[in-house]
Amino acid sequence: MTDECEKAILIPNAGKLDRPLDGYDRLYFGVEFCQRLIPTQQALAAALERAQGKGFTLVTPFVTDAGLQRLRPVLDMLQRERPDAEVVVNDWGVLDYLHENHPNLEPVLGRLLVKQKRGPRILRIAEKLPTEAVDHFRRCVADSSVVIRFLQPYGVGRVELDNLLQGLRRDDGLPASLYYPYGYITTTRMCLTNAAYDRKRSFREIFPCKKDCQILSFTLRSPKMPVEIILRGNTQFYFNDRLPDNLAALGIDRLVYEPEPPL
Amino acid sequence: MSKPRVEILCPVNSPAEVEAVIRQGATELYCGVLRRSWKGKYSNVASPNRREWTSSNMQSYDELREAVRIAHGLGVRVFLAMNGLYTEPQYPMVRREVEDGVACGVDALIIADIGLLAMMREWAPGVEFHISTGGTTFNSMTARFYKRLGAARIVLPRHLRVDEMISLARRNPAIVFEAFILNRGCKNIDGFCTFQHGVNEIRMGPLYRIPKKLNLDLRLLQFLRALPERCARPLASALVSGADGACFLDYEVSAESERLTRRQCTEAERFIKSCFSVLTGIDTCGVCQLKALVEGGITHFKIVGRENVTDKKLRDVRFLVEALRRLDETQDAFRRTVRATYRRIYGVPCRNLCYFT
Repeated sequence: MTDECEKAILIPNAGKLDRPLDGYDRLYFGVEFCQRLIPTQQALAAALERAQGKGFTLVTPFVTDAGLQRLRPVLDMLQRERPDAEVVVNDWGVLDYLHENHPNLEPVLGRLLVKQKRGPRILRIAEKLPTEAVDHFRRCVADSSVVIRFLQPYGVGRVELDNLLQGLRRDDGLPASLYYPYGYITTTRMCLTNAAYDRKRSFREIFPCKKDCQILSFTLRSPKMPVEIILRGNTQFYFNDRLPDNLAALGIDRLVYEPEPPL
Repeated sequence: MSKPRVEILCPVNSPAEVEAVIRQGATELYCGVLRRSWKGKYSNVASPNRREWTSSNMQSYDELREAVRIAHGLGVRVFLAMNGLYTEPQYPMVRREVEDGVACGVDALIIADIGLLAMMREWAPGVEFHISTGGTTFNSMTARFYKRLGAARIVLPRHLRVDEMISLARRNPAIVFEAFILNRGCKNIDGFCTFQHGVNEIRMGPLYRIPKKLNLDLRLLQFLRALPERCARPLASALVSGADGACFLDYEVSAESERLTRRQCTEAERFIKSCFSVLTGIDTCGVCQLKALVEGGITHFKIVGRENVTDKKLRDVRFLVEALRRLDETQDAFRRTVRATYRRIYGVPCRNLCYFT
């Protein structure tokens, strides 16, 4: 079943571009969760070089005004160098900006905006929930016909999904990419990992970045949490490498492999 | 230049507390409704708004109608939180919730779902709506995006710095921004967090409602705060309130790094463990930044905690009213005054759990 899907690999930064890309049809490059990791133009050039002969998707995070300033030249360059590229958007403002300024680049609705219900504790309560509620937790907001209609003028033709622990339910919806094996659960700007080893103060601050997400990650275990939580940088993930059997029926035509939690 | 009018938005979960919080100084109210028909189908965990506990919400639109009647009689507007994230099969019920809320006379809806936003013109033409913090407005383009869709107000995320909020307000003078000012400072970004709340209400059934309804859980937290952290954390995690949020669990933490020493990893593990404690999440506050925010153009402030008992809400409103009277002081003097006021009103010193930096 997976043979029918386009295969992509998600590489978050230029330092990891030496990973073999054989067997992948498309390179996803960039980060969804942190504007401090927006690639430089130099890094984008290196990624585009590596993606020659393959599809290319730039992954963008949610941004403040400062982050948007950093993103603009990267998008300008992408339009110049790969006008057929996709851009995964995780910020309505970025979608609006793309629509106005780079209508050729193809926007894709990212994991932060599709609004799946990912919290793993659903596994502990599912049997006590009404059928309709269980069904609700398998769906996502972006599959609603209203949302699809809303996205149409913006040119959004694809959504990015996580491989939910409780399973997926899609009756309709735009063509979808499925990320695996790491599903994101939550994210923050109060990056816990940043300087966690010499932190003298509370986490309640948006600290200057030391890029510790590149050298440090954590596993969190609790008997009250059905799976391990992986904390990398500012984001928490779960691990799920069991792909659904019915990818085509779910409207999934692309698999996005994450060799590691994508930060 | 005349001083801007500053609004204090107070939560209510019952018509019984409406008059009291208004007399104390609340200038706007907000609330949610979780009625039996919704709960029976989708449970409290998939509540129609971002408060998943039954005790956070009114139980019927009759209660809402009564709350609106009292508030309007005192000249105060009421906003209905409809800031859940909805899937296709829910739409008929969502529409009914919206129409019933509007029929009760609410003055605005608070929305996060892009689908509901798109349907507002059809389902509730002419009704004012605000973008919830769940709308994740971190930049001017997003603010403009929502403004063009008809939003009258945007609630900012807690995860913006004060300078970033002020910059947003200055760059977008045509948009009304609202900032959180008291209680419940989650470390994660509300609109991007997908952990479920209200799980214990499912697991423990009606028993769970009792401590929540009487606000015993908050009192318990205050007690736990007085204990040494090494005792308080496992205790809090084991008890009802502590176990309800995934962020409050007493995790076993292990660090992995090829570059750090074992000692650094141990330090890091200890730090991360300290971040996941129920003791870090309550009593958060941004009042020391009130002066900077008002001077920067933000004039609408939200108190969080619909589930709190009326006494706590009254103290919160009083705290803000007193702080707002001192905006003419210098920033340092204002901060000192605020901290002294906090101690006087709540009977405990400020714990430096600040929303904003």
